[in-house]
Amino acid sequence: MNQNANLQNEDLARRFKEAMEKLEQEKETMEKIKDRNILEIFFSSSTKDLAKAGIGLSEAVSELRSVVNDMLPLMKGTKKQVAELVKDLFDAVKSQSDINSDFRSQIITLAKRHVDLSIRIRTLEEDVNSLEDRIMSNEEVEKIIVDVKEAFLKKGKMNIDRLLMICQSLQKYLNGVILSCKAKQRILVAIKEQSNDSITETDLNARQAGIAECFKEFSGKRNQRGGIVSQFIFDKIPFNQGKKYKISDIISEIIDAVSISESDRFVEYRNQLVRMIDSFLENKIDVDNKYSPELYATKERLKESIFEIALIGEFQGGKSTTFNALCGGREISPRGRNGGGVKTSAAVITAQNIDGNETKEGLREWAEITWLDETEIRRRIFDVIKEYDNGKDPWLKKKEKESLPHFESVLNMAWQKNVLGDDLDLLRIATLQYKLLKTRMLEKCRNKTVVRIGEFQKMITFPPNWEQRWLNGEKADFMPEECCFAAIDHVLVRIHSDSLARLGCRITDCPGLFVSKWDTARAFEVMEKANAIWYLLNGQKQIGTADTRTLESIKDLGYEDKCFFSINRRDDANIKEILSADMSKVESLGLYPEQIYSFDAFLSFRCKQITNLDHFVDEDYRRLVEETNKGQYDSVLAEECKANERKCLERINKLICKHLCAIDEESLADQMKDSETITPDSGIYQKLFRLSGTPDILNAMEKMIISNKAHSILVTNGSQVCEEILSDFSSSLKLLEKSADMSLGKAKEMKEDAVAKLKKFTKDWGTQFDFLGTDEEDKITYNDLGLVSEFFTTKKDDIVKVFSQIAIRICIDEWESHTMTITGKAIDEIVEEKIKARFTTFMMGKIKEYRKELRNNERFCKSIKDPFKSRVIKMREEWDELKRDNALLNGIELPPPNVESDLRGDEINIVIAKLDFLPTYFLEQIRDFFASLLNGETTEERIKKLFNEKKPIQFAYDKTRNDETSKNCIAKYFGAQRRYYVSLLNDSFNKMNNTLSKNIADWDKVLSQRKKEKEMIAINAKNKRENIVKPYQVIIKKYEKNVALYYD
Amino acid sequence: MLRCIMINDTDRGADCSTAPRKSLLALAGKYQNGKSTFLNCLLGGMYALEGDGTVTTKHIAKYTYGEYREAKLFLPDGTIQVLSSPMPDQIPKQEKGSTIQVSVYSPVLMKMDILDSPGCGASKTDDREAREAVTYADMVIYVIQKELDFEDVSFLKDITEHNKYYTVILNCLDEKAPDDADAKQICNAVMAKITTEHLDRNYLPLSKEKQVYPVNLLWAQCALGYLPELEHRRKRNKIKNFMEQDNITPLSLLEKSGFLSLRSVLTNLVALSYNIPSASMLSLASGITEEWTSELLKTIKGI
Repeated sequence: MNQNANLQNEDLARRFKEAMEKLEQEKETMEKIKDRNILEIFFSSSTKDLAKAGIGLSEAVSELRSVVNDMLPLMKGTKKQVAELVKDLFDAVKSQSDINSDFRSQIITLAKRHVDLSIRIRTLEEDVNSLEDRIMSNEEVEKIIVDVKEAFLKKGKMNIDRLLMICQSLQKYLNGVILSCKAKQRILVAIKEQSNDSITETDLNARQAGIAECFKEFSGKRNQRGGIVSQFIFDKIPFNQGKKYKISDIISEIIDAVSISESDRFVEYRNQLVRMIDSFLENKIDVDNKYSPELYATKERLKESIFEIALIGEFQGGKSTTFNALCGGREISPRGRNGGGVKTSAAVITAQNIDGNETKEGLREWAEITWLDETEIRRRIFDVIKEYDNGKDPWLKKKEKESLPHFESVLNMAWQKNVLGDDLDLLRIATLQYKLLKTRMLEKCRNKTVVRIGEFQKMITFPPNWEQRWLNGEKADFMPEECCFAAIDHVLVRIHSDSLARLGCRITDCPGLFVSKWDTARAFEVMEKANAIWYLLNGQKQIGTADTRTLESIKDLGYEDKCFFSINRRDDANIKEILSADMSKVESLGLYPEQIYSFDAFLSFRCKQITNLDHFVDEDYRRLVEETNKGQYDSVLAEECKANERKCLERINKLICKHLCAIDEESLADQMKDSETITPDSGIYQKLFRLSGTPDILNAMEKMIISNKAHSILVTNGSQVCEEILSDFSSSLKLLEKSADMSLGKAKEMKEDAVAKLKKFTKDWGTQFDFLGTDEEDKITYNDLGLVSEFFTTKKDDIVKVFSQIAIRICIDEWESHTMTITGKAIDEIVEEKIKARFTTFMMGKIKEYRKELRNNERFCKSIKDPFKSRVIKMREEWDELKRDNALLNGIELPPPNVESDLRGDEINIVIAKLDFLPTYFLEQIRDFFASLLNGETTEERIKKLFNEKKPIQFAYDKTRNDETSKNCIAKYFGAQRRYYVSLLNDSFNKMNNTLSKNIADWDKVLSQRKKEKEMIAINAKNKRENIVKPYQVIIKKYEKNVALYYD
Repeated sequence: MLRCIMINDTDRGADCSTAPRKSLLALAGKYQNGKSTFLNCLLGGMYALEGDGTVTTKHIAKYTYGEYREAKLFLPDGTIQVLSSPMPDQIPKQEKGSTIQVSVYSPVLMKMDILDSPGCGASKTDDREAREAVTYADMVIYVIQKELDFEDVSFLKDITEHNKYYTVILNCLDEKAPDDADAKQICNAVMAKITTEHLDRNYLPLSKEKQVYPVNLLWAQCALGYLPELEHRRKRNKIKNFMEQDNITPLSLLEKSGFLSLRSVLTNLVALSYNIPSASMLSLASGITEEWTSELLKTIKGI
């Protein structure tokens, strides 16, 4: 028996040695290839060999161990394999039936080594973790595409090998790597190009097993979506049995499932930080509650951070349908009926997903209405009617001017006048607002701030027959309830929607463009605030002049970087032609979007409807019945739908089928017709949703928004703030520790020393910054004015050139389109309305640019910014040196004055707003120019000649340059920036002083204790610092590194 | 310029001072709103190129009565060229000041000439041409698809300032029937807007009930058999499905489209603006009562 076993052992040992030699050989090549995948395969085969060899020859095992250890650095991201390898080995040894005592002891050693190895693995894991979060470089993406193409180009039919190969190469790159959206899209395109053939039924089982094998890896990965993949493999494929199934569909589904979406990643990072803060706070070591409030505030800020997308488009261009699709197919934004034609929504609506089970006033989903307050309404009425106020009594006080009787009399006067166009619209709204104030209806309304979904819509819709009812002018009869919309500022809708959750954004539906001045202005307000603009082009016809104007404004205001273009595919138009016409138009305007995403608002809306049947409210049923019942509402049918989900589904399916037929997707429509077997969670709806093209836009937008903002939210305002707080905390604890072994006399000495040192330091450095000046507010120094003339000299050529060009373009355009109607009288109108609107937007955009340039103005940098910066750096160095000498100073950080930061918020706007002198000057010039043209010949050449001879822009520029007010404006800007630096510095010094006195006070408190207590305090402090604060500092630092790696 | 063919029709040798001139009806409206479709329906065939979302009508073209189909180009220097294709939009954009005249053998053109112009709202040049075309017309038909926006209002203002008669027709989209409640609502809103913006001075309502006239031109075109099979398969399919679903015959579709009554009231009305015919002739047009005709006459004479 024993002999037998020994023989067996020898045999096995020989085999194992052979395997090891092979392993060594392979190792060399491995180092060259560094290919994770091959490593994996290799390991799995050698594990099998080992399992066969099985028994623990201590020599062989230790050899194996060293090999494994050698290979560890190569095995990026394959820690699981290592762990499995060891486990397999262990199991194999254990499963040996006839174990003698030798073997037993060897097993124990092996087990011990296993533990040893697992510790190593853990260290390895950390390295691997940081590697997993990288973004792919372009070359890598190219490589994937080549791989995928090659896989497809292999000759022969689409067989199991090819499929496996694709899957493997995809897996290789998807494993632990986050693909950028662009990369994903390109892979998809590559796959789709090649895989138009479908799988037949025959190989299904083998294939299924193959795919399952290939993707089994995913299910175990830390990637939370692994579960989805395995579910997909085991559920979806049998479901499609017997039906044609396109590879591209499989792959795109896999890619969707496997890759973490950008917003998930952001949310994950955010939650990580939130969790860190939470767990730190749970320790409750901050007994004096000095640092917790700040941490708590940081946490709340993190939680609230949310991105915003503005949905912009022509009225009745499918905007509300798109918005509602994103809201999960619900009737949130009032849609125009049956193709529309009448403007519907009157307010700005924002939708945001509800995370978790939050409720408000007992509602699971709700709308929060923000009402205009009474003063605001009065101000708005006043703004509208002031021009009709003949100024009979200029001495009327402001309060009286905004009183109801005054409103009434001026409104009466206004209605007597022949008001037209936009002004008429404004007047109507003002009249309604007056009515609200008069009837005290507003007070009642304002109580309603949280309302049910389905209820708020009628509060924001224009009253029915809006135009018709104004035929009698001011006597138009509106119920006070109907006027509500005029007092609503905006509505925030909180609902459960997976699309919104996925984007991690709130989305705002703006009033349609081009309906009235008021609506367009609102839309621009929203655009300014938003992180991204989703511009919806009408898929029915190519871009016209109205869109062109808006796009020009977008360009002029500098919003092009955050603008996404999409076109709503319509069933009856030739989308290809429209798209190419639109693209060239958009490009001719100087906007270069990567892509105009074409999508199908109707389809995505309907698909989402199906998946959200359980969220339906009365409004949804009403519209559905109307739309499937020839525009007629039938309460019986609605009740029927309400009672039976199936009926709803059938009705929606009918609409989808009709649409599918219209867009030449009859085969899909045929699948839909079999509606008895279709359930809301059938794969077909996901497929249709993908067909609608919406996911692509969402992906692209998500990527852009998040990469733009995530860093500032997570790092600058998140982890960095935490770090600062923790380091403050840590130094205060250190101080407590020191205090334990110090005599009172020595302590006093130290205190005095610290105070003196700080005093000297601030005094010395204070004088170093004297060059910044310390004048009072608004005082302009000679220095500032010098900077102004510098600015004007360096900028002159650029400004004159750019503005001349734009002015010429405007003149030519406006002149050409008015040659038919231009009269002396019309000039004023043109100048005032058209040019002003266009030119001012352009100017504002330009001014923004110049604002940036002002900040980086060469002379300003030389004389103020750079010296400030270099002195700050020096000062910090000196302080670091100084604080080492005294423990009391040790905890005091010199708060870093952020030199790059600018004046914040209103302050800068007030200063800069004064810069809009430029448009006014140019306007005057253009007005003169038009007047002169009226008398003469009108050709483009003449316009150009006039511009060259008279040089109106240069004239205006020179005038501006020599104008005292405008000089002062800019000088004030420089002055403000200077003072801002001074205040930064003073803040820093003050903070240092405060911290020191706080430190001293803390210390005194400790020093006054008895010795034993002092010791206790010191031990406590040390414990806290070393066991709690320090680890958190390390974690947060590491976190920051990770985040920065991903987002930079 | 344009005026040379609008008034001095030298080609045919007609002396405009003695011969009674036919009325000139101009079609205007935003691009891709169905002006060319309307023209094709009126003329009874495929005479003007129709778009599929992109701008198609590039020229101002006058359609006039002729024994055979032919298109001629009038150059600014006075020379005339016969075009190789009778479809004016198949030729490239001509130099400024040249105009196109298309003769078509169609009964409608015996009563009037029709001016098809580029749609407004697409580009500034097109806008200018559209506005220019209006100045030559005796009456303008403005085609819309949805409520008036500020571009529409500004165009109508131009028409009013040139003291031209005009009327607005609503081309219903998709499966919207002209007698649908929604269509009516748009019509009413448009009419109210015209009134409140003081654009009603020269407005000629085509019917008492339908002051803004709703019509579904696609239905009409399909029912009349003018919708080409190949280019507009999707449109046809859509209508076909719709017809199958509700058991609609082509005849009843034509009736539903509202085109027939529009055509008859229009042909009579345009004739009116120059030669006032008898009231009985007007009343022949379907859907028009004696009372309404005389009211209409009063309006016209009154202006």
